[in-house]
Amino acid sequence: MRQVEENELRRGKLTLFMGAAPGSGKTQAMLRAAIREASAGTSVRCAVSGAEAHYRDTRELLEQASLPPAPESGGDLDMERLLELRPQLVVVDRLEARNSGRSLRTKRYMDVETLLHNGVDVYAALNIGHVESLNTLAARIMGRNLPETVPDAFVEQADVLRIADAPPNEIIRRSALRSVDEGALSALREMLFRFAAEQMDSRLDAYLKGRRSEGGGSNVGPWPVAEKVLVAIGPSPSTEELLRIGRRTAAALKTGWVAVHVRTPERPLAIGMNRQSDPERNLRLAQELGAETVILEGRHVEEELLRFAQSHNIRQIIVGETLRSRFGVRLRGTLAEKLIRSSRGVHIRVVPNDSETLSASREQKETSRVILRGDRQPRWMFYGFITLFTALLTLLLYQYVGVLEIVNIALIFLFPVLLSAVYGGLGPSLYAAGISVLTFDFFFIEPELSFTVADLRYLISFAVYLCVAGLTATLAGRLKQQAQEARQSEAHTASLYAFSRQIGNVADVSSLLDGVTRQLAQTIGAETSVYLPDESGVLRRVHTSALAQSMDNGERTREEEVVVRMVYEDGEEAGRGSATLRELPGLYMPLRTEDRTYGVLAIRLPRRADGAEDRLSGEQRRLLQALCGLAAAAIARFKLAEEAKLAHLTAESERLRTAILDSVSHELRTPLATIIGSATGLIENDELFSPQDRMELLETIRGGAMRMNRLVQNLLGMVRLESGMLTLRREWCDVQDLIGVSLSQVRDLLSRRQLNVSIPDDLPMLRGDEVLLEQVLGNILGNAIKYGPDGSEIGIEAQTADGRLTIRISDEGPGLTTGEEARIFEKFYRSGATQQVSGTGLGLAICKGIVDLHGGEIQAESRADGRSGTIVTVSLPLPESPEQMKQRKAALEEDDEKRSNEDGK
Amino acid sequence: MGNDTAAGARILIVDDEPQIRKLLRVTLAAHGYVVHEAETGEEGIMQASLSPHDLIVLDLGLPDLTGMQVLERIREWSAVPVIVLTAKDQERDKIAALDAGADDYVTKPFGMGELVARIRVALRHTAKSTEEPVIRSGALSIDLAQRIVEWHGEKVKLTPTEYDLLKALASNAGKVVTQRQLLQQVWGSQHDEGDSHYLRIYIGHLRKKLEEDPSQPHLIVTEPGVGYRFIIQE
Repeated sequence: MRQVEENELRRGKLTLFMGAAPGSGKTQAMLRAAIREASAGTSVRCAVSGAEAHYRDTRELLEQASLPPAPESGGDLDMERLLELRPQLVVVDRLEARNSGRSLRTKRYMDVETLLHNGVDVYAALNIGHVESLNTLAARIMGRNLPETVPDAFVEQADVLRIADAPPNEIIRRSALRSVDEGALSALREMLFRFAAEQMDSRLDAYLKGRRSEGGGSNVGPWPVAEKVLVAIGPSPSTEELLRIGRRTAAALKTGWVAVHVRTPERPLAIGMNRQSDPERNLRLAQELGAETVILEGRHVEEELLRFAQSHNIRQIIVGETLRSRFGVRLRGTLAEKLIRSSRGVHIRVVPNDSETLSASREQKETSRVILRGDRQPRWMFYGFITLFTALLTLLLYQYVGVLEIVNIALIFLFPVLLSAVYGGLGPSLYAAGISVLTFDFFFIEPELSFTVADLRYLISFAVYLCVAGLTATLAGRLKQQAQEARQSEAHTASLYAFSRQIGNVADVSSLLDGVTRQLAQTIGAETSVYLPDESGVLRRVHTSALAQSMDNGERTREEEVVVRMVYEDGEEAGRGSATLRELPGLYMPLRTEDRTYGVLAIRLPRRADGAEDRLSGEQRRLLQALCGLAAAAIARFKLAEEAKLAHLTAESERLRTAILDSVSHELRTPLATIIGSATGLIENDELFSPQDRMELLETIRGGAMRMNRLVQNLLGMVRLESGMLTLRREWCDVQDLIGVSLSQVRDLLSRRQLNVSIPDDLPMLRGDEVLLEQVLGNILGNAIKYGPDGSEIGIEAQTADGRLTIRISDEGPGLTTGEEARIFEKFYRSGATQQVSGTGLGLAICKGIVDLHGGEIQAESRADGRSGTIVTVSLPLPESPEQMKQRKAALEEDDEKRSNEDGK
Repeated sequence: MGNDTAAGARILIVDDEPQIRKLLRVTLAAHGYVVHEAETGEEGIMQASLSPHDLIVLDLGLPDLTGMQVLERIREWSAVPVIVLTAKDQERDKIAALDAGADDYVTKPFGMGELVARIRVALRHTAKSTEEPVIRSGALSIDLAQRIVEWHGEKVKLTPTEYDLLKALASNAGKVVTQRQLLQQVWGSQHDEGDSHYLRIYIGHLRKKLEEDPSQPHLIVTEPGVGYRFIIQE
């Protein structure tokens, strides 16, 4: 039993078999190790299929070993069945492989991650070129793309790293890699060894560090301050290579690294809109590669970078060579040049922009080119429009050459230039300047209808044209971009503002979540669901936008729940575009405030037209984070309000409990004392008492018991009222009868008090609970008797008005003090004037409860006729008007009359 | 106790509370009854079937069977009078028991006088095999044979409904009659509590004609929530 528990808690051990290139024998090494394990009694499942074993010797080894195969479905590991089988060791080849896509875990290493989480040991094989940070380099060495990668973080967590190596010629012979020469293979092998050595190093470091901290702090010198590495991120795709270099450098130095992007206010023109997304993409990649990412704002990139470096103990800056457009280079020097000029002790490492960069960067260039082209399409129309416009203008002006001065014509020709600068951007405006100059020259400048320029001063005009075009377009472009950015950020601010206002008003969590999902659907276009923990702490999906529901299916939901639980426990986001599980199709954000995670927001990103699932831009992510923060704060607010309410309720019930105890203990003890006293007296000293004495004692006992009975009835009545257990048995009630019965209940207590009953004969009937209404009247009458002195008068009066029946009961007691007219109907409230009279303070509260159930009203007031005393008025709704009642009665009597006549015959 | 018509009658008490059983045993024995006890419903049914009893006092809140079940099973083969003991919050059970054939009820806590009075009435009703032709109570006399009602020696004119209602009550004199029973006897079997306003109106009529003070009746007394009781005044 203990064994099993440990297995469940323990994380599986990952043993990585790494090779330099295909054919290095890593799969064989792995299989041999697995066979050894199997023969030692470990339960092994082998996920290396014959199809994946390329080489004859591997296939033979596999057949010979006959390890039990791991279950699979459609080429992928069948994780559910595998986890059910619970082997101790699973053997996996080609760790970088991509799953066929049915599963939420898109890559094989995620399967492995799951296995490790479940305490299963894994043997996995991987070539060095598939490690994320080494991927481009390896691809360049091998001269071909290696499309699939495994994140460095995953590789680094391997418990055991084994190197499978063979001489280069052997590798080439086995793998039949014709394109790879021995030199390239040596380079790859060196890469592998260095990687392994670095891994060893960092482990040794960690070990030493652990030793030092264990050994106490006294003789330990300061750990050398880490020299962080900074990578300057520009918008260009080649930055990716920079990031990989940054990662490798940082790993080699065993230090952290920072990716910094400096956002400058002056941005080149229209294409800037496409570029906007590029630094975001690079920043995201940097995060994925383990960098800390920072965005700075400033006019001068180099100054910002250096200032940041100095304030953050950074000794090395890695920068690409062409971060600027080619126009600026010659005039102002490249960023690298400027950095070096003012570096002041910081190492600057310049990486030339390699146009031959392979793999991913090329891929991305393709996409960006596509985007650019897509964007330009309408601009071709623009060029046509400019041409047409200039032609028309020329035609018009050509007719008025005589009237207009040549200077004016030149100025008029600026129109197309300005227009295209404002609406078209740099290209069209330069084009407009060009054709304006040409037409102007051809048609209007001596010699006419020739491109020859007689007066060379006109060349100045031409230069001015081009300058105007360039400057105007630049300014217009910048303005446009700023406007665009302002619009965008205003939209985000507005949506945040709207949302924060909205959640300020919502009254419950469900409408809050409704607001969140609606807001997200509007601003990001994503479908969302929200998970919150229930009372027992289990996460439940409490809210789902309508579309997300339709996207559901069993497996996705289950897997989503796993991720959600992880996010909830860690308080860190996961999923697409985040640091963990970034191959997931969704994004999972914790709803957290500073001290607590309240739930998880699951976002299903919208699919793009080409089927790929979109990533969020940085702007959208920030908005998302802000929304999550707001939502978490709101949920926290609800929670606090709930807790406060609960605390209030507890206090209130505490107060009530005390009141009950006080009242009940007093009210119970008094009669109990009389009962016990009298009874013991009778039992012990029977012979002392005369028959009269004995009777008196017995009556005392009866009186005490009766009083206790009333108390218990009141308490029970109150409990039934409060618990909602009291249901009305509505029947027709005769008011006269009601009063009669309640009077008969209190008749014994009346002694010499005068009753003054005034009930009209033709009172309509009520619908109500006879027993309870009698209890109401009985309680009120009981009070009137209790507080009215002997010989006083008690009045009972009933009447109907406006569809209501009113019963007024008046006494000649002490009356009420001002302000307590309503309070006397509260539980356990006793009027100050009557403290000396025994009572629980429950009777009138019960009356009010019962009358309320009947939809009626009960009020109390002091008498206004000069005498002291109280008048209690009960008013109850009548089901039908007196006319209806009379008609009904008449019909009944007529019927009866008829019967009587029939009898008579 | 000499004039007690049913002195020596055998009474079975079915109650799970020893205190109540003891109280009943002592007081009822003092009134001259022969008392048997049963602790549970099953035991009560068994005792009732083993030896004949003249009356059963049945607690409705038993631990094993509900009082209703005991009542129904006894009623399968016996018409012995049953008086049920109920608590205040068992209003519905009380009415159900009465409609299911219980003869009367007493609500706990009860006065001993009240219980003994109920027992006497119930025993008297079984003792009378044929109805007396004339029922008298105080100033009222009802001649059932001739359908003549007299009050203070004068003939009172009653409508047929009023007469039927008075007859239904008076022939159960001393016993409670539920609203349902009255409605069904006077108006016919299709009527139930929903028509209780008929009953209220006619009880009102009767009281106006036969009571000294209709607002404080002494002849036809309301049993709140249950029904009415015709009181025999000596």
